[in-house]
Amino acid sequence: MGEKSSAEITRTLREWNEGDEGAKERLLPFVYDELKRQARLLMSRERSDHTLQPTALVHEAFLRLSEQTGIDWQNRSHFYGIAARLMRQVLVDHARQHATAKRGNHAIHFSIDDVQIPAEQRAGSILVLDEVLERLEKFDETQARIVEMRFFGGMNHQEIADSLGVSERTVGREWEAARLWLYRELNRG
Amino acid sequence: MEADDWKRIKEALLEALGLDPGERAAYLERVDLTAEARAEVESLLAFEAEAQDFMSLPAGEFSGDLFSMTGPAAEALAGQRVGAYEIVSELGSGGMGAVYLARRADGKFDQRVAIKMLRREFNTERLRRTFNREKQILAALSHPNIARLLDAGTTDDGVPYLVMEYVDGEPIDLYCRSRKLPLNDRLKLFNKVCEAVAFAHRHLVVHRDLKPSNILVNEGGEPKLLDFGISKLLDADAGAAGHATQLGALTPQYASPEQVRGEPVTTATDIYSLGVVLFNLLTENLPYRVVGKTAGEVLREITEGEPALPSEATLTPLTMSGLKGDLDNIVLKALSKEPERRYQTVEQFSADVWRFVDGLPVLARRATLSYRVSKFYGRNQVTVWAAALIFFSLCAGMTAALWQAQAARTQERMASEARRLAESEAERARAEKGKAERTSRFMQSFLEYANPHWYGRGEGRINVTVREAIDHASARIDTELSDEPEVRADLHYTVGEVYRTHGESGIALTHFRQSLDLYRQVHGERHPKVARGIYYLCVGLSRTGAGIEEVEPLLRQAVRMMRETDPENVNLPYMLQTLASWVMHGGREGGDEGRLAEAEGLIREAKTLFTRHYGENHIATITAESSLASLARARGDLALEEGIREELVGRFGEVEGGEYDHVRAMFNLATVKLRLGKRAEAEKLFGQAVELGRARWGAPDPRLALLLRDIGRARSSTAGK
Repeated sequence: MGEKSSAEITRTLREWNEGDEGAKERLLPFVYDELKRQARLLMSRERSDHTLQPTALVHEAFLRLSEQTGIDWQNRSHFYGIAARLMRQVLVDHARQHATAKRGNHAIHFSIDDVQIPAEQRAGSILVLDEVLERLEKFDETQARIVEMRFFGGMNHQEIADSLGVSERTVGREWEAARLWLYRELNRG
Repeated sequence: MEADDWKRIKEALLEALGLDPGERAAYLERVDLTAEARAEVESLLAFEAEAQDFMSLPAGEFSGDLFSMTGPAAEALAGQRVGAYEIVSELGSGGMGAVYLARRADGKFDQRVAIKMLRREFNTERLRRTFNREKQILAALSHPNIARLLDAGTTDDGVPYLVMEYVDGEPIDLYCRSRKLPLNDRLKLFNKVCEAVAFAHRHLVVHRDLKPSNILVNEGGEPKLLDFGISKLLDADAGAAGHATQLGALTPQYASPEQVRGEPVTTATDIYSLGVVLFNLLTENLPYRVVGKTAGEVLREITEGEPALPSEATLTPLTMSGLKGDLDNIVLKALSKEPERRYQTVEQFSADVWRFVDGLPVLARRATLSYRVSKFYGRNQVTVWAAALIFFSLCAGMTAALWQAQAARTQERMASEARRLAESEAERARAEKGKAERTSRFMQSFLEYANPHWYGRGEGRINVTVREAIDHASARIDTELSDEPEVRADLHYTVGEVYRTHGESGIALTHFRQSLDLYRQVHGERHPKVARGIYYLCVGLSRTGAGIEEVEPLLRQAVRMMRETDPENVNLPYMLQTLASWVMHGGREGGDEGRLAEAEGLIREAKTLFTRHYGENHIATITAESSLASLARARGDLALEEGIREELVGRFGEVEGGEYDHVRAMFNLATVKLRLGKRAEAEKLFGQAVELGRARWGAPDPRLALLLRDIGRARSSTAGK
């Protein structure tokens, strides 16, 4: 994040910290830059290890922001929620750059086996998922958030439950239902 | 799908998932669902096995390697056609979009352009509107110092872009710094920026985000204004204001207090930001300290804090010597918290900078003075006539102290003088109501002339100075009030006071003499009012630097005349006290106990008269008592002085109108203690005095500045003792 935008972020962060939820939206573009930068940095350094830990990345980004702005961040679940949202944006953006076609001829599983699929096709899968998730969001916002937090944000059910203020059991049930619906939408003809 | 339908489907689905596969069909038979919903649940259940490992790997692990691939971001965009242009490289990217360097693809002209493109992922309706607005605004602004809009369009995949003049240059702050530009060159550069902003304002466009990174200077030394991205069209029918918070992207140090507060934004907002830019060009620093401050504190600084003086904040030796005075005033005027107190137009701001460059007097200083005085006036709820006199007397006191650096004692004397005048005039006003009303009308027009707020409303002129107001009024005294010689006499005195404080001692004394002549004309040689006129003349003489040889005999004459013609006159104790301070002053020089004894007699007499006129607990009575403390100091009796001052501090605090004296009394007590070596007690009192002053007057107040200066002096004069 350049010096220029850090000042802009300061104000927005403060507003968010003071309960202005709209500020979170205005914050995304800024944190997005930092996140992308860090992700790139990480991946260029650790080519053999493809693991990206989005929450750690975003946490790092926010820590830097906190240091720069002197704002004290205590609510970690806030971080994780936004981390997931940002990771989704970062990934989708990258996928858009790399996807040669929206989907390949493989079933979309997002599982360990899929890592063998060419990157361009995996990128396409991410794009399709993003679209389907947007549809889910329209009639079940909570489920969409849960998917975002777990799949894009790498959060566990306990963390998601804390962030949304629901029980861990609810998170598990919603996740299962969402997963089935998404899978069907992604893979039926 | 409807949310409600989904809710029922979801319930049934989860219920079924919890059952053994064999029991599911039976469950779905009995559950209360529409046929469609049931089909939906069955359809989803059918994927259970296949979806087993679906999304078992977090997205980051699944596609993390995408980051290590060389993305097409800037590199792949290179060579891409955008309209008639071909992208060369990325120049930079902000929150919402990126700017690319591009050239004509057809090679017709060797023209380099900047293409600003909204990021695809932020290609939303709202941002497209912002983008479009920038396009409209830029299209209307064709000025040599504003980066021109050349073309606009939408890419094949629907991303809007603007093609703009490419400015190959440096931000204005870096440009000045790297070339070590001398002061005048910086000012000239700044004025070109002003021209561009003024041009935008004439086209009803407010930039709203003026800062060095948006002002690039090219090789030829021409500044170019960029980024009208958040600028606002001052649409005539939509009212002349927009809100700053529509886009939460501002740079705090350059944002105006009204922007920080989310209040309407007008051209005055740009004037403020230009003020910060000028501050930065002059000092290579910023007006508010931000290091180690939280965001909230920084914002509070902008809305409430006092900006640093450029002359004190400057980090560059190139400008160090030239800032004090006029440039400080110019910058501070532009940085005023209240938009209406800044320059009214960018042209006005720029003109003042030119006046400085040309060595002419600037407007900024004088307007600030009239503001201070009018502020002070606004706090005083006395009759208009009395207030008018306080207004000018205190204005006199403040300016004298601040710009002529006279002794603090003079200041005190003038403050009591102001009160005395106000009281005696208020009294007279009560007695002669009709005349007072006419006078007060005159004084009111006088004050309105000097008050930038009132005056500005009516006629669109704001930078009226006290000096102009006085010139205006003094020319009218003898014509408009020709049948009121006594009022004229009073006014000549007041006007004389103001001239004196503006360094026009000659004109001042003319008015004092005219005043006395008029009293003589009306009342003859021997009359209380003539005595008072002589007394006024003495006060005037002493403030224009006359010596004791000249003033003392006149003062004695006035006192004698008053004692003989009207011993009960309320002015007499004031005259006695003034005489006492002259006698004491002379006595201290010569160490003459005879004179000190005489002074003591005069003070005690004054005190008795004050007590008779006003009672024990009146500011005048207490002030006379504090003269006894000064006398003790003159005699070298510090213990006595301390005792008297100790008692007076509290009493000043209790009387009406004693706030100034209360603070000064604390200061005076502190200085005795300092002399007595009671340093800790003294420092405590200094601190209390400053705190009290700050609480009562607010931070940027001349009286506070004076107090701080005096504390500094007292400390240094006793340092090492």
